[in-house]
Amino acid sequence: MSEAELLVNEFIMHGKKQGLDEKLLQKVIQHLLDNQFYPAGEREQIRIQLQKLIKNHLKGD
Amino acid sequence: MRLTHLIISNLGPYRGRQTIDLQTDTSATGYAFFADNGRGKTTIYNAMRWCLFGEVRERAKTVGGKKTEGSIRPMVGEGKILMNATAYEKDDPQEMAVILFAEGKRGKIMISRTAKSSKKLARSDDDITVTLDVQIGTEKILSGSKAQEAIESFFPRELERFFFIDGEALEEYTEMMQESSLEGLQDEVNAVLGIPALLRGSEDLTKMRQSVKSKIDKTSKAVKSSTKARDEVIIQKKKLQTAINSSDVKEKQLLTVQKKLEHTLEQMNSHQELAPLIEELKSLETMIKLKQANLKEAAKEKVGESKVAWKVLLWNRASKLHEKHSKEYDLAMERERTIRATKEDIERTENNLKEVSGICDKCHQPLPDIEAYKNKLKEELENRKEILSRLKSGTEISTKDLIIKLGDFEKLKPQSDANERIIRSEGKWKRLLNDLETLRESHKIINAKVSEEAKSNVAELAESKGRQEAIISKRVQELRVLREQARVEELELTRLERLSGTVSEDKEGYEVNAIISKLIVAIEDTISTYREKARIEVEKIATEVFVKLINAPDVYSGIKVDKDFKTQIRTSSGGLLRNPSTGQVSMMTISVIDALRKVSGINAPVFLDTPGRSLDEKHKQELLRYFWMNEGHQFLIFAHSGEFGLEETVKEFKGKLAKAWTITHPGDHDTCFIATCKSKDVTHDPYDKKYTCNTCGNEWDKRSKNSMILEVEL
Repeated sequence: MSEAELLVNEFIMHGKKQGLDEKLLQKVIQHLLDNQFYPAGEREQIRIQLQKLIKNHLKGD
Repeated sequence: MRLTHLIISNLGPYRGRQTIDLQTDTSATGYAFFADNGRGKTTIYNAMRWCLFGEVRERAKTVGGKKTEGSIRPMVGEGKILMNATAYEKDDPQEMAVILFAEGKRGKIMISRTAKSSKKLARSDDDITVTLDVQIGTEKILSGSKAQEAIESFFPRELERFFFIDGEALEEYTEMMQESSLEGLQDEVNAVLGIPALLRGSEDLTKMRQSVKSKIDKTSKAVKSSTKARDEVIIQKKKLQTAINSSDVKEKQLLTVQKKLEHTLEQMNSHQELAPLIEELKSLETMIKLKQANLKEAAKEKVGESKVAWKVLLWNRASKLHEKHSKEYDLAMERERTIRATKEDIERTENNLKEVSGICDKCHQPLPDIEAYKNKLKEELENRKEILSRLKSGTEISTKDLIIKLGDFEKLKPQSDANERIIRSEGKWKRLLNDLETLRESHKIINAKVSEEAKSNVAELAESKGRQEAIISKRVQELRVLREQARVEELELTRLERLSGTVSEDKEGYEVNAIISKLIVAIEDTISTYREKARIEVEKIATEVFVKLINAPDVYSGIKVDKDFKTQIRTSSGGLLRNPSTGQVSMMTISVIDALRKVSGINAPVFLDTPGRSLDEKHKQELLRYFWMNEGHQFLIFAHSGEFGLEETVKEFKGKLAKAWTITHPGDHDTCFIATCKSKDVTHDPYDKKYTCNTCGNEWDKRSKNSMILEVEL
């Protein structure tokens, strides 16, 4: 198991404890991993996409 | 990612284009470049880094666990430039390029980075234009920042250290792993573990929560304002109704007065036949008043002018006397002048008579007869005395008295136009008196035609009309003010109704906020547990690698990685190895780096530059054995001649070594180096320092420092 998989599993486990949906957790952590090396000053678009992801989840997409 | 070709053009000692073909029919994953120092091993290693990341950074320095970033190697200019020296000094344009071909999960990959001078004889990187093109699979070619993003999506720059490893770096890692502080390696370890995803994710979510909360607060505020506005709408509606009512009342009052006025006007119409007479009477009365005033003024003027009337009457008689005395005065004045002249003549004649000298006093000639002359003078004198006597005796009244008399007359003399003015003022007064009488007569005649009652009625109606008109004007003004007030209240009502519109609580915002908050907790919990689990995972993999590398399971059981990723060697007896040798520490370091590389999940070739620098012969062999054990990843080593012998290595690792090359200067060869020739029949020209192959005709300059990459036949 690579660390990325370990991290994803760990995050999903803690997210589920918070009552969050696994699919949403999977999408969120993948989005964060894909964009982990973008510096703080260039993350506005990443945040917008993250919020869109959450909103779509709320709509059931 | 599996590298298939690497093309280097005008980099370091490589003049022109050098193509390295890494394709092979075997499943072996080992690649080796053998060369003496200064031939260009590290240039190939750096060419890959430059092609992928656009820069070659010098190794970061770590002193006491504190990392200092290394400087970027310039492409052109001063110091250790990346461009080939001949290309830099002689080419126009100056240009260098690296093209990389590979195969990955997404298909074939092509990365091309070119640096070209943007002006003649570029002397700094500012004069160089770098272009990057990337194609992945059948996707369209990307350029610039999009291309760089594409590269880093499968090969993050942060993980460069785990794939580009040189001997110097190994020593550095070794030092860092043994230091109490691992700050120098911490970023890379975190990057491998995916910690930035959690840390930056937590920051992102915290910022998002602030933004969502701010939006919720705004909506909540708007909802409160809306509720408040709804209450205000009710009050405002009442205010508007009050204003409308006041306006209506005023309008009714206005209508009442307007009706009254209409009635008055109707009544006035019924007296229409008297109206002109009454109007004329009024006009006559006004004119009579005016005439009376004028007459009064004329009377005053007449009295004023009459004050000098006695002078006019008296002067009619006195003027003749005045004229007579004036003439007498003129005569008296003439006589006085004649007397004065006669006296002067007498005096002069007497003087002449006394002073007769025999010379004529007129022609100044000698007198012929003096006595006759004297007698003549005496006669003249007597005549004049007689005239004087006669003039003096003729005076009845003196000149002085005449002046007094004339003065008295002047006092009685009126102004020249006094008479005319008296007549004129008298005429004016009489005329006005006549006019007044005429007006009075007219008034009397018309007045007789209109009854007193009718006059009274008409006057009363006129007064009513005036009063009503004044009231209407005032009420119109008041009504206008009230209507304006109602309009203002209506506008305010519209504004409040708009504010009280359909603003509802941001339900979605609350839900998003709740999810974000839970995600933040999940990330925080993950950070607290994941690092430890990752450490255990790294320790496990590092131990596996170490055991394979060291190949002494009876002595060493593995690697201990503590919470700060500080590492130590475990002995089979369960303890920790004290005072490990340099080789042992190097193997431990390689194990940990390889463990971190493995757990990163990145599938990319590993480049080892002078890997055996601090290893003994046994460990060097174990190192290659481990890396070339065919796990699917390509491992490229760049070894100098003292590190790994070409022939021994090729022999030892046959089957594991996919391809091997030597990097040499032309002068390193005294036999033909063309792969298909290899002839020893070579002519050496010591004067020109040139070699010529007598078999294939290949010529080379012994002094040339342009490196050549020659594939070794395995």
